[in-house]
Amino acid sequence: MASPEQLIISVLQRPTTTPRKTVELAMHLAVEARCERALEERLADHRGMIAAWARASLVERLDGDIVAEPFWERVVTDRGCEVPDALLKRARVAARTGRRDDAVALLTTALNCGVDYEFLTRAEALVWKCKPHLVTRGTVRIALVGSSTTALLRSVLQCLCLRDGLDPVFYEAPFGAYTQELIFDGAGLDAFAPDFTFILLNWRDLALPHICTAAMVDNEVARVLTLWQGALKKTKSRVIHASFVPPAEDPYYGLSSGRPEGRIASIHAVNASLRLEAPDRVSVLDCERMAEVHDASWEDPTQWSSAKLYPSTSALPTLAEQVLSVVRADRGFNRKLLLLDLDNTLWGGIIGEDGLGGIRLGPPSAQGERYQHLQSYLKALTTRGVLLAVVSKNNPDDAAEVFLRHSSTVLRLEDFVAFRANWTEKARNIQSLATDLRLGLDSFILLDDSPSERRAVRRELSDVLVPEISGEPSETVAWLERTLHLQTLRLTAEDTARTSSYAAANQAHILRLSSASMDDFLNELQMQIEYGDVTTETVGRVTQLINKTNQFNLTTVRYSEDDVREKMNPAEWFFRWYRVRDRYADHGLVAVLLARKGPDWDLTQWLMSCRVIGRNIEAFMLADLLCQAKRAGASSIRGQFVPTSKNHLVKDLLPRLGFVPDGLADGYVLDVQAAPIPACSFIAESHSCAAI
Amino acid sequence: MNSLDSVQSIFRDIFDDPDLEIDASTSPGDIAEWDSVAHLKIVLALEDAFDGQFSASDLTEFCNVGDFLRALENTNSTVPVR
Repeated sequence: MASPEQLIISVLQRPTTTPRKTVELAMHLAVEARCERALEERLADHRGMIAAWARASLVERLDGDIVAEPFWERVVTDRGCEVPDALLKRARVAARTGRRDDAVALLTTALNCGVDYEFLTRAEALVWKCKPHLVTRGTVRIALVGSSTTALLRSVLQCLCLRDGLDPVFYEAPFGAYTQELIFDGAGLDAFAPDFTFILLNWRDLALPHICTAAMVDNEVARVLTLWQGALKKTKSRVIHASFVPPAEDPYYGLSSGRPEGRIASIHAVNASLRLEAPDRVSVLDCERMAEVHDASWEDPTQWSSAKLYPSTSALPTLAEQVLSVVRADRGFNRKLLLLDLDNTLWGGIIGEDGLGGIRLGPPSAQGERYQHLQSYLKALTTRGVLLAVVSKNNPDDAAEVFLRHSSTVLRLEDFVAFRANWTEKARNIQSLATDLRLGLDSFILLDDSPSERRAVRRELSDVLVPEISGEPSETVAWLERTLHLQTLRLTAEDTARTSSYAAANQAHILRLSSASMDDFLNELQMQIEYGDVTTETVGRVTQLINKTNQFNLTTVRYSEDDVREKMNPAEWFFRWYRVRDRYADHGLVAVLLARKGPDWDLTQWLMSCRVIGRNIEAFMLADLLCQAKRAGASSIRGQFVPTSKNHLVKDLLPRLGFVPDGLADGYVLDVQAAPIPACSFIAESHSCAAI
Repeated sequence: MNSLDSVQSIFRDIFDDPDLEIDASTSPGDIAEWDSVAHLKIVLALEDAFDGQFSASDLTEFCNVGDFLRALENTNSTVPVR
């Protein structure tokens, strides 16, 4: 029979909800079975975050929090990222034993992890105790005026303000009295003299029935404008307004969003008008979008009915981060420059070891695509004024080569205001970069996948914000979106002009497409094709395509990598890859053509990834093949369609391209000298990398 | 570790006091920082920890820790049959 410790360890090995709750369950079992010490000793032989977490909890219970401190240090994710709860435990001990700087550093790191509401509840009292050491940027007076209970929002805002070095002083308007507070004289708001007035209303405050009239919408817009005017007149504050999120339920089952007079559409219309009418001193938060991307429900019916909480507690940190981003932007405390590590931060792999062909950036690697997307995201940040700089331990030439020569890089050398790829300590690089650019360290964020680099920079330069990210690109973007440290108050005229010209172009595109022919469609795509002979750089992807392409595959003959390498011999084989890009995306290396040379060329492989099927790329491939066959003096090209259960798509490929049946089953032949080379005017640009 | 232990660890976090000892009779009168906002936070933290939801009418009726413990027993899905 298994011992209690073994059973509990098996619970830890199959976490059900959150790691925290799994550990709590294990603790509960260990106490019931009176095997805390035995379990603790056993866990010493186990790796992983949850085992370390359980062990630290047990040591804390058995020997006290001071003994447990080094055990909490070992609680990190499998990619070396700190865990907020473990940081909080260490911060508590540090604060209690008088190590204030440590406590502050641990707390701010934890609070910058994009933590949830429950964590903030656990951290709040400690954050408050550390207040004198957290505040570096003075006081900020925030009035909360709403139609719901604002006490919990206040708690969350308080934690986040202190994290960012601001000492918040709050005024909470009496429950439900927002109109009186904002419009009538003599209420508490006047005396408080806020720097910021946050108006938090919800859809219930809009007097909109399920079917509304335009006059009702106008009326509600006018009412909110009056509230803003009241706040602007009474106070010198910036007004922050939360846009209205439509209710989750709709008795008209979605029909009311499709009609302009429906309530859902009307609520969106109110928001749109308010954004247009917003004066300079009013910032409208996009809560509709927050609600859409929030991973739980924006409102909780029970929390509303029992405590008049809006939004739900799980949404409070998201909302508070938005409010705070406006506060920081107004005070000029937001960050301006992203310091970027390279290997496993901007691409997968290590350029110095894996080389240009070995790093993962762009298709076909799924992770490579996410890194490419991250680069596009960062590029878009530069168009609204965010600065990028490289700080990486690398040979400068290796690092630069990616931005100069990698076919999937979105970022180019000119996108960086500084490029520090060398073997100097990062903190020293960052310090000298700040001097060169005349920017404060407190305007920097460092994105780095290496736990030791993060720790070192945080220790040396505490003003630089160093988030706990693993380097997984989707996590990096999520962190930037969640904490909004790069927020600005508004887009500049230049930004919006740029955006509206894009919008216009896009509109025209939609119009044309809707009435267009296939040719127009292909022209619109502005396809660029790059092609070349299969070489060691491309052999991996080519082998992969040969083995996984099912639909557009003329013969479906599978090759090992060695088979492919054998055919990398231009004297005997015509062996080409094709890479496709269009105005929307880089599809990567997506097609392969293989023919045996001789007086008659034999088509051995012709295949294409399904992401670019239906774009007549086969015509381009035939043109390439035919050119080379003509030049080599071949008389014909022979090909055969080998049917499988999945490749009906290419049944007529050869006859469609001018091949004629040669009498054998599914066999075709093309007269090389007589056949015209297909015109491919829909290809905007083609570029040969072939050594001919 | 019974329910009281779990409730105690939540109290210790919320009031940042590692030595706080509570029992069924502990009430807002015993902890200076236990105001109405803290009360709401305790309720929400308990709901999260026990993956349950108190009925809305319970919230205003909790007068001490014992009331929380009884309510937790009712939200738990397994109750011994006598």
